[in-house]
Amino acid sequence: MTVLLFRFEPATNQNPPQSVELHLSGNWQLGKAPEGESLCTAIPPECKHITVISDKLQHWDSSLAAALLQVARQCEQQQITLDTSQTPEALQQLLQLATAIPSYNPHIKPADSRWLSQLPNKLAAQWKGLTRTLIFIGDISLALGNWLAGRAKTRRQDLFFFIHQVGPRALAIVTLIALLVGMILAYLGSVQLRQLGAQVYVADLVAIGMVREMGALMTAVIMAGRTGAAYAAQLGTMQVNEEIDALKTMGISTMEFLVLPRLLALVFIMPLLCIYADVVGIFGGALVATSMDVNLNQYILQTQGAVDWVDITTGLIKSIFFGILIAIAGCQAGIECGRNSDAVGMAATNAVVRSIVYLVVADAAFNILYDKLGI
Amino acid sequence: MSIGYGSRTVQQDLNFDVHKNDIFFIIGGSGCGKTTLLKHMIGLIAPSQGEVLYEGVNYYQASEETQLSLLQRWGITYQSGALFSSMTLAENVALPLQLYTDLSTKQIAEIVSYKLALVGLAGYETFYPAEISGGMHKRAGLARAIALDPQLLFFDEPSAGLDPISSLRLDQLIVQVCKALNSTVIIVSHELPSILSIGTNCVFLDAQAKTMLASGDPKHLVQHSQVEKVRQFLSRAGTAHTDTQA
Repeated sequence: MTVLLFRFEPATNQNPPQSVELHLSGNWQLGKAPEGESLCTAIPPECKHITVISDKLQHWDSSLAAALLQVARQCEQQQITLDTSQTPEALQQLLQLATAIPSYNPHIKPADSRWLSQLPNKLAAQWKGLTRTLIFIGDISLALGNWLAGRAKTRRQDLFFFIHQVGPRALAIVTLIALLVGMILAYLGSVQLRQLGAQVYVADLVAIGMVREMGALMTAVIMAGRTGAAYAAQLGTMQVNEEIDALKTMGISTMEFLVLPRLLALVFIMPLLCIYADVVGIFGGALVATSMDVNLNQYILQTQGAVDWVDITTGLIKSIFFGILIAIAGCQAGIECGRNSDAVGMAATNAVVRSIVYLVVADAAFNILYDKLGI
Repeated sequence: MSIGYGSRTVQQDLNFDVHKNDIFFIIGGSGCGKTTLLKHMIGLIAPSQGEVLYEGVNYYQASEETQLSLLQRWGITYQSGALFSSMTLAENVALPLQLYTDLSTKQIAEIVSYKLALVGLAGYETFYPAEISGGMHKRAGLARAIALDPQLLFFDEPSAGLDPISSLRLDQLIVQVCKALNSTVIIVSHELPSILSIGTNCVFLDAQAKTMLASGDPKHLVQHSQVEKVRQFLSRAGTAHTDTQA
């Protein structure tokens, strides 16, 4: 059974009544009390004054204060005077507190949700993003110049720390992925080559595939997810904690102090990891090939014949360039991070997405370039 | 009770009561373990020795259901506000109402609007924490803490980082809200004006002695505490001496 917790009664004999009494009764508690809107809609028309009377009110909590606040706001809009002096003192205090500071009304123009009208803003944002990236690359180049000239405020221990983070600690995951990629390449090749009776050429396929392409690319993808995201999260958190502001006000370049050691660590380590991934990938290919009627000696000889120094160098150049791209994407996302925890998450996501886009575009560009150069 | 982190004891031999409708301050110098004690009281860290009793119920020995029902009767505000940055202020305040009540969306919106108005943030419902000032963070944190009309309110350094006027307003707000909600308040602070103006009871922790040196009404302790260090702290005598030396 629904218990009536409020009713409006005319205070005078006027018709329609200009002064009414709002009688509150029963328990006004969260989950049991009516919505404030139901009180507002029950306000009699033509009413100019409301007196709230709570002599039959029993227990009450915020639900009553919230409902009366709605009534108070409605009364203000309709220029009705509201008298709450006959309610409990604590309730009066709460209402006084809630109405003490006027509501903030910023008059924000609602954004136009039409796609076409948003297009110029979106294009402008993309252009700004591109400009910021170019400026960031320019700043890194200047910092690198200072470092080469021995003028940069880059700490050697930071560089060693990041080399340790990027290199030895990534070996396990690089081993696993490179081994599996080598095996996948061998399986794919052997299925096709077996039809021609040329299984031994699996060694050529795996060796060239790993050395020229997959070694560098897969290592870079791992580092984008592992290191690029970590860079963004580290620098983003430093931005939230105002550590980057502190560095700036100490006159220390964030590029030299924060970005350069991270970039150099990747540049030094990426080629080493790439060579390691190549070897492990070729070994993975050997595991598959030897299980498919290819002799291990044959496999090694075939690999030696298939790969030359030019192939190895093409992969190494790619890996150095990929390292630079991952560092740029990760560090830029971190440095440009907002000042809350949500922004740190966004920065890490941006770093990985940007890195992978950069890697794929750069890899395609390298392959076209190598083709044009005939290497 | 002994409190600390792992094997490191921060405070030991702590024994004090908080009475209903008290505005209870945990006071002491920097690094003495005030926030650590608060964390032990709100169920975040179990004490290494002793117990935390709420109306006779040992929180850390209680069943999960009892702990949850106790938590629903508490409101906690943190030093930085601890607002969820991915949610608007309205969503932050609405969260406990959505999780612990079966109110309709409209009723939740009305309660949220009222709670934000109560702390002077009417109209800021759609703002994100990143878009408001530090003082507003604290007030929004208070609005979220009182969303469920808690019987027990905990504050960790509510006035830290606020100007004297905002600090005074926040003190008045805490007193008024708690009086209206009939709540008991526990505040971690070393803001003397707040302690002496609104505090009705306190415990003084000392970093060197690693224990409490006094408990009682701070207005009484400032004159009559038997421990000189407590009197110095509450009258700023020690601070003035240090300043002169500096």
